[in-house]
Amino acid sequence: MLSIDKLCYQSKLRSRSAEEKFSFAVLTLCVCVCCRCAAVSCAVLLAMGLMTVCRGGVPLRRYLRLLLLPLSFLLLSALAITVQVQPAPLDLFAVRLGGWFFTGSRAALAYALTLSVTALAAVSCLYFLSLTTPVPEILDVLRRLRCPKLVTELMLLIYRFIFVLLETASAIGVSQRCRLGNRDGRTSMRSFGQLGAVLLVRSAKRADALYASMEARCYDGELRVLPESRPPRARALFAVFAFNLALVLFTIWRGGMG
Amino acid sequence: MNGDILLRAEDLRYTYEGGDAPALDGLSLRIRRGSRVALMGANGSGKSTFLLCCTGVCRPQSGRLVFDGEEVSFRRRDLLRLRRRVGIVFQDPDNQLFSASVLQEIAFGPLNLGLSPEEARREAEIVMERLGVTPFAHKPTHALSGGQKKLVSIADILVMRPELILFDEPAAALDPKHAAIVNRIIESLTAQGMTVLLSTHDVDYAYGWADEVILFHEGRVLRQGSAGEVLRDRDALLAANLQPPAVPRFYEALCAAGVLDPSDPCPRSMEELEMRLPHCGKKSAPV
Repeated sequence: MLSIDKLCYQSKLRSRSAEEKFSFAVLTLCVCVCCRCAAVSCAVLLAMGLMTVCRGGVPLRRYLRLLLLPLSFLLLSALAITVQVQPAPLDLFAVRLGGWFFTGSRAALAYALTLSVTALAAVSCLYFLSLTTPVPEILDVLRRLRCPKLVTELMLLIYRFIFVLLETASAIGVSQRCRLGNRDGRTSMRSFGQLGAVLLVRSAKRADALYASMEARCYDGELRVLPESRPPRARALFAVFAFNLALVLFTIWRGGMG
Repeated sequence: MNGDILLRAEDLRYTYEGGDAPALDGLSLRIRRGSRVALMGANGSGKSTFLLCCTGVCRPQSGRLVFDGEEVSFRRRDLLRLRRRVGIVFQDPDNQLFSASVLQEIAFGPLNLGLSPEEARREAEIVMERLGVTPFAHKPTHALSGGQKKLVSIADILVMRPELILFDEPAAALDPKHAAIVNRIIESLTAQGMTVLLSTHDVDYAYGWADEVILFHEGRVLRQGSAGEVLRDRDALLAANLQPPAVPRFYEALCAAGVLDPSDPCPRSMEELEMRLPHCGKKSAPV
């Protein structure tokens, strides 16, 4: 969370319009999921990678490491889809276990791979957005898209409080470790539990203090935020549209969507 | 004379929910318009609670608070009016800063005052320039250092152009550089004639800066008077867990040693004291 936020504020694409980046990421994500085509997903993965790393300036190794996290989950899911336990062997492989087989079919493997690469491409779209666009600007776009105010205001406060609580948790963790709070597994578990309990109390106190400070600045129940985003350029929006249209046309040419 | 009084508290009483002892226990005081007032006292003596009452965040259970001749009403609309005129800088900036960027944080108050986004941005930019926070205008507030957060929390309030500004331990947990910057900002506010109330434990700073010092003790005013009077009252300081400031201590020691004339008034700063020394008078310029 912290590293994504840091990378985002260092991105070379940070100054570009949030609407441009938001439309590129979200529209491409939707097209990618709807097409459910491995080639399209690979193209999306490549495009998002190039935009994030080459244009955005995120170090390749950091980006690949970030992708590794969802990839490991996806591979496990793919394994679960491919491998089946059946009384009869399937066409890809089969391992006999008594009267049953650990087996898999080519169709299931293809399905699992398509699903994994589609999901990874979708994640890469979200990574592009979160690694180039600060959360407040994303919230600003959501506001303009008429997302309920309550939701965007809550998201803003949660975003801010994640960092305050992480800082508090880190300070408490250091204090616990300094007093051998992680001496063995049992002590570590107890310390962790205490940390959680203290964090809950502290977050409630912080929330009270924050509310008081907002009230002191004439807060009347509506969180007014200054829009910081730049207007989108027609050329960029057209490029986003053209890229996604090309993906859809390619899928149709390959034999339909979904 | 009454026209000079900006804020008057009469017999304020306030006990926090579940609290054993009252935080304010019959507090009465007067603050003159344009004055520099230091609120001092031990932890838990009621300084912060009084500041919260002044902005209507805490509502006293009894007593009267009069601001600019009008009794403070705790109705929502009246509170908004009060908060346009009374600003508070909290001790911990993390309890104050919530926006995702510094610019948005500083513009929050002006937007609440009904300014358009363009006007709010302009006002925020003026204050940022004045306090030297423009270089990190677009930084997220969680990425700032403690000193930078403090500057932003002050900018938050200055941008609303209050008549009375309250500082709750402004230099607490700051490094000397940022403490000096914050002190300079406070100096400039008082030079412009703004009324400033500041709670602090720093007796040396209060002695040099304040026109008036109010000592709090167990939710009441123990002593109120000029910095010279109050901060040289050893009994009152002892009751408030404070030590006398360095300048009057040295001055008294030098008078006792016959170096200085006790009939001369006590100097307000170390530099002034240094200038009074017989051999340093002309030679050593203030540092």
